[in-house]
Amino acid sequence: MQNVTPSPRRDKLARLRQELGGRLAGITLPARQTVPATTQTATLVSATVLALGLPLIDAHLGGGLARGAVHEIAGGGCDTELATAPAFFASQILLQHAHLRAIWIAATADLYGSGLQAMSVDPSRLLLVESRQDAESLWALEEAARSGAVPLVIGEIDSLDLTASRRLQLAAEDKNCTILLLRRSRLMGKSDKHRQPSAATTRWLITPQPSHPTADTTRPGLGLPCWHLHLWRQRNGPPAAWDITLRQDQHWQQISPEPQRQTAMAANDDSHAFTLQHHGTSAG
Amino acid sequence: MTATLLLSSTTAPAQARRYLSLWLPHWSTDRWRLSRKASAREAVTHAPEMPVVAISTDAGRRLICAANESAMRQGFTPGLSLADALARRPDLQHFPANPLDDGHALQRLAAWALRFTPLVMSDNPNGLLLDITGCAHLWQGEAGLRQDMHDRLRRHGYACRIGIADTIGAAWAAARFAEMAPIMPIAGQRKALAALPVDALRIDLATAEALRRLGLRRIGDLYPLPRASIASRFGRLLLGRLDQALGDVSEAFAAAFAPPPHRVSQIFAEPIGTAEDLHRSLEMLAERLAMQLTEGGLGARRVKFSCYRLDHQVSEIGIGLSLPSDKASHLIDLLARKIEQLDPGPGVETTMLSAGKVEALRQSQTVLEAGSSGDHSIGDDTALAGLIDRLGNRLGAGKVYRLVPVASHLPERAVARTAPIRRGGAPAWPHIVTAASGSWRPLRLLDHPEAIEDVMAPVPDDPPLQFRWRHVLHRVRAAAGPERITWEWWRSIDEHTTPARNSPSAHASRDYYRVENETGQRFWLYRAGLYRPEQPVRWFLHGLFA
Repeated sequence: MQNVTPSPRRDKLARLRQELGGRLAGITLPARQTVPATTQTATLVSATVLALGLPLIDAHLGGGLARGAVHEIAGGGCDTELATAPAFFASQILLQHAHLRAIWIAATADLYGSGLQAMSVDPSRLLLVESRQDAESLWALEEAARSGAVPLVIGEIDSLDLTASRRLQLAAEDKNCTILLLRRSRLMGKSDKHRQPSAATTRWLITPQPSHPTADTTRPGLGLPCWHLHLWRQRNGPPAAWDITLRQDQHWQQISPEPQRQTAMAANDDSHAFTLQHHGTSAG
Repeated sequence: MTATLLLSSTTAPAQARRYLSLWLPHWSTDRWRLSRKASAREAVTHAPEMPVVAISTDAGRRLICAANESAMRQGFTPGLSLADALARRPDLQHFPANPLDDGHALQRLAAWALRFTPLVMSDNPNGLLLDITGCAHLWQGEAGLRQDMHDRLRRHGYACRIGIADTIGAAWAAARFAEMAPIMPIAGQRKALAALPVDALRIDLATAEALRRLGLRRIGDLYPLPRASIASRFGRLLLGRLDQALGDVSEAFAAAFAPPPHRVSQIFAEPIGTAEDLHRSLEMLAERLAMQLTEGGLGARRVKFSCYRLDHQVSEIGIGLSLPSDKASHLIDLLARKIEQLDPGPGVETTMLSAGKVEALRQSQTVLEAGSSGDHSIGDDTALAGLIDRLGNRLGAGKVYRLVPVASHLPERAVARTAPIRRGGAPAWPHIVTAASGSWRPLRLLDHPEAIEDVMAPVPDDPPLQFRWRHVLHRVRAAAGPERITWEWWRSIDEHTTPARNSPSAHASRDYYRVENETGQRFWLYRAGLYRPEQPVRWFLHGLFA
């Protein structure tokens, strides 16, 4: 690079760099206490994937969520209406990649800044967009992805057909923008809209699990929250499921050591949420 | 030769101004008649000669406050009581006056008058003042301008009188009292005013009456009097008005619409109306405006495309830009998305593109947060600004935003929206509050806390064992809390918007609990107020944890 066009300015810069490197060699930087080494390795910047920061799951995905692709996250259980667990999934991605700016598009503006902050995610990294309905959200998602302004776009969507998801996939590929679709139902209770066919690269179901009260929590009675994370569809890869929990430092971590192999049949099962829940309790 | 030039430049300084005063003597009655004409076709046959008066109520008495020409001629002048008037003419048309509406309509007329000059002010209650300095040549002189304005208003059925002079006071007098010679020549107001009655000085009736009693009927009669005696006899106001009218003392002109510093317009020989024509006009104007901005090294932050219609209405669309821009293509792109919102009505005769707010173009942007490192994943600032504009102009102002912290411990007030791009950056979020400090905050906060029912708690001070929210019963498996949050006592109660403001618990403290139901879902509940045996306990759900 420096040899391409030699100029006095470049030389000076190189000299300064050298000098600075020499000075820094004598200093050992204090290790950051809040972020353990495992997470730091996960936040390594990659041009092709966005690491989740969960080593086993990242290995299963081949490094993390593919960039320039659409990923769908739905919430299980009674959370389909507010999609809090999918929002948690998205905020964990933001937490793992502290340098990412993102756009968050939603028809209901109930994402809470102090909640993000409590998750150690700086809310000022987000540009929020409030749309009126799905059609506008989809339009905004596509505009945002095609603008190349941000590397990550998060959208809360109720209903999405195959054509719309293909459009989004093309928009994501266009400028290598990752799109996270958080499925959010307008109706309370059971909704299987998130099971509609879609062109998403990975499709997730995240379901809260009963927590385990631990002796060392400062608040007896309420342990660290747990989730069941189910990758039920993955392009070019097998589905899998894991149990995860939250560490004290707000980073998620995996409980079960091995990915629990699941067949694709769960995707067609109506009582899916229930079985998963049952499964989660027995596993934990 | 040089001496004459010098002399002429001092006697007629560049600041010499020309003012036009428009008087609409029957403004409210004309408006009433026109609105009836618009609402009912049959009313077109309604003879304009019918006397009509507007009525205002003053301490229970109904008085005439405005009248049309025919009513005036028959003696139904303002100040007469309606009862007297009806006794004389039982079929007298009357309607309640609406000065507020008249004022708004006058503002709209002022906006329309911008087609003559950028400096317009409304002269309440029934007139306009225009600073037409340097504008008249577009109408081949002041007479042409006056005639054009007169014809346009007349055609729509407004009675109007127009006067032009060097000073606001003289123009006012010319409009109302000099029907024969409404245009006072440059620096000729002293001579022209001399013959007008003293009422032309914008003084109250009592002063005018007092002057007349002393035989001072015309303004010219005041000229030879010593100033000190006028001041001591009639107060300083009369003297001030006289000086203002003569131009010895300057008078402030408060333009109703600050003239946009950068604007370009296009006047059509034939009115246009189709979206394609408007779009073509927009393109031409945007190119010219962009060129103007580029020359000054400026970028527009707010741009307005105004269409002046044949029927004195102005239809306009506006866009806001998050970063100053001087790119014609960007402006056209944003405005073209809104062009359907324009209503050309009977036709558009003039289009204008104006940059209401301009800022110096900045070559580099550093205001977007979190862009410290040179990482490829940061994204592109100009692309982001363009995106913000496109989103904001389609979804509406305030729909694209960032979150900023507010120094408040009330959960619903702790976060506010702010503009996506601000100069100097947004206030930083205070350092992380997490589990360690004991205050958890949910990821989703409901707009308004929702009341939950069927709450079962063993002791009123304990978290509930079960509750019903949105028709679903949740059994509580584990709970943590409480965290007590009290109202901000330094604010008045009215400032708080609560789910039930009028309930006794509205401004009491809240005890927040985090609870987990059987499936692991976590909620943020609170009990309103302190427990009092005589009051039912009220519970609300305020947010959801992941």
